[in-house]
Order: sequence, then C-alpha cells, then structure tokens
Amino acid sequence: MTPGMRSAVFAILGLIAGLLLGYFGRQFLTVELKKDIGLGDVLNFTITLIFAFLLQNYLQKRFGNERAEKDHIIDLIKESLVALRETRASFTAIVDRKRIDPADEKSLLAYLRNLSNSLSILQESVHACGDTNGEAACIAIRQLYIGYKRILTGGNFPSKPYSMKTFNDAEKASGQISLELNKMRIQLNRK
Amino acid sequence: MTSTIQTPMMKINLAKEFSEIPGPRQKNEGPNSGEEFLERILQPAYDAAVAEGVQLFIDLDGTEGYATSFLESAFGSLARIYGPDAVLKRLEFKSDEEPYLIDEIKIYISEASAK
Repeated sequence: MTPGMRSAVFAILGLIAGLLLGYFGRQFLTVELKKDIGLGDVLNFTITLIFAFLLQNYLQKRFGNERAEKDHIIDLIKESLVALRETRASFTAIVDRKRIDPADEKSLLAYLRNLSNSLSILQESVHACGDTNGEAACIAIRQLYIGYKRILTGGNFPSKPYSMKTFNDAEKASGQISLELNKMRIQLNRK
Repeated sequence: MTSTIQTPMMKINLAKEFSEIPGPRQKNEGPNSGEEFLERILQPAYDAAVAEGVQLFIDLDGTEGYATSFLESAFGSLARIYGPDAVLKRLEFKSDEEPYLIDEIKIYISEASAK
C-alpha cells in the first residue's frame, strides 16, 4: 500500500468514526442551551467574578509581601556580613602590627559595636516577620558573636598583643558567624 | 485617673560617673579599668542598694565601647563576691546603643559561679 492510499484509508476511517459519534451522540446525549437568563444566574456569575478577583488580589499581595520581607532580611544579613568583614579586617591589621594602640582599641570596639547592632537589628526584624526558625538561628549567632568578642577583647586586651592562638581562635569564630549568616540567607532563598 | 508604681532604685551612669572610655581588666594595665570601676563605684553602690533594699540600675550608654576584659572584671568579680543569683536579681541594665551588651554582661555574671 502506497503512502497516498494509506492516508485515504485513514481519512475514510476518521470520517466513519465521526459520523458514528455524531449519530450515537444525538441518540443518547441531549444538550440544550437555555436562552433565558435568570437573576440568580447573573448573581452567581457576579459573585464568582468578585471572588476570583479578590482571591487573585489576596494571593498576589500575600506572596508580594513575603518576597519583600525576604528581600529585607537578606539585605540585613548582607549588612551583618559587611560588619563582620570590617571587624575582622580591623583585628587582623592589629595582629599584623603586633601591638594594640589606643586608636586600635577604639576602632576595634567601634567595629564590634557596629557588628553587634547589625545582628541585633537582624534578630528584631526576623522576629517581626514571625520566622521562628530564623529567630532561633539569630539567637545562635548572637552567642557566636559574644564568643567572638570575648576572643578579641577578653584576656589581657588591650594591654598585651594577640597571640597566634588568639588569632586562630578568632579566625575560626568569625568563620562560624559568616557560615551561619550565609546558611540563613540560603534557607530564605529556598523558601 | 491612672497611677504608676515605680520600683525604687539607685542609678549609676557609667559614662558620667566613671569614664566615657572604659579601659582594661586590671588597674596595673591602664586607666579606667574594670577593677577600678568595681572598687570605686559598682561595689559601694551595690552594697548601698542591698542595704536600702532597692534595685541598682546601670546605664551603659554614652561610652566608646566596652571590652570583655573590663566587663568581666567588673561584673564577673561582683558576682564572685556576692553570688551570681543575688547580683542578677539586684542589677538592671540599660543599653540602647548596644542591646547585646546586656546579654553579654549577664553571661559573665552567670559564669562567675563556675570559677
């Protein structure tokens, strides 16, 4: 059988199937369209339209707000990471000089205060958004911050220079804070 | 008509009554140390607050910042003398400039029992 003949056979079969469907459809299915429209139908249609409009608005607003909240928290996490980097840079500069001058002491305490406040604002904002997991992460980060500050300004600070052990401990502590902040950011983006 | 009942308390403004630049841990390390603050201001005020049965309110704002060494020497040492629980009950703090500072000090007070 040539391809042309095969096509003709399929066309004839399709036509027969269509005619049979039409015939049986008319025998067993009776569909009539009402030509008169009642008040109930109009009300039903209007309420459905309003409901659909409100639902769409609500969903759009809700997901829009959630995105705005996420973006705000992510910005605060970025600010905290910047404050952490500045604190670390101030600390490593002091380590390199092998002594702690009054100006070093003042600037390091100022950077630590800035970091502390960035983390505190982040925690308050996460709390305001009602994110309990995020808040638990912030509380853990606060503990890490207090531990980091203790390494940097505890012991004999500022009367003695930093030891290599203090430097290593401080690097590990700042790395942990950075890791936890980045984890928070990743989790927010995944939601 | 409304009325407010305030708990009687004694107050220390650390920046005004001691220094805007709190220093190191001990007196032999430099000026304005935690040890000096404890001996000259904190402990006498604490004793007076206990004698009068009032709270001791410490305003931490107005300084250039606090090193852990200063805080641990002042508040940790006070807790080692009187006990952490008694000190935590008696002291109240204000730190608008650095809210985490209060948690930090409370940790040093609580940890003092282990030493």
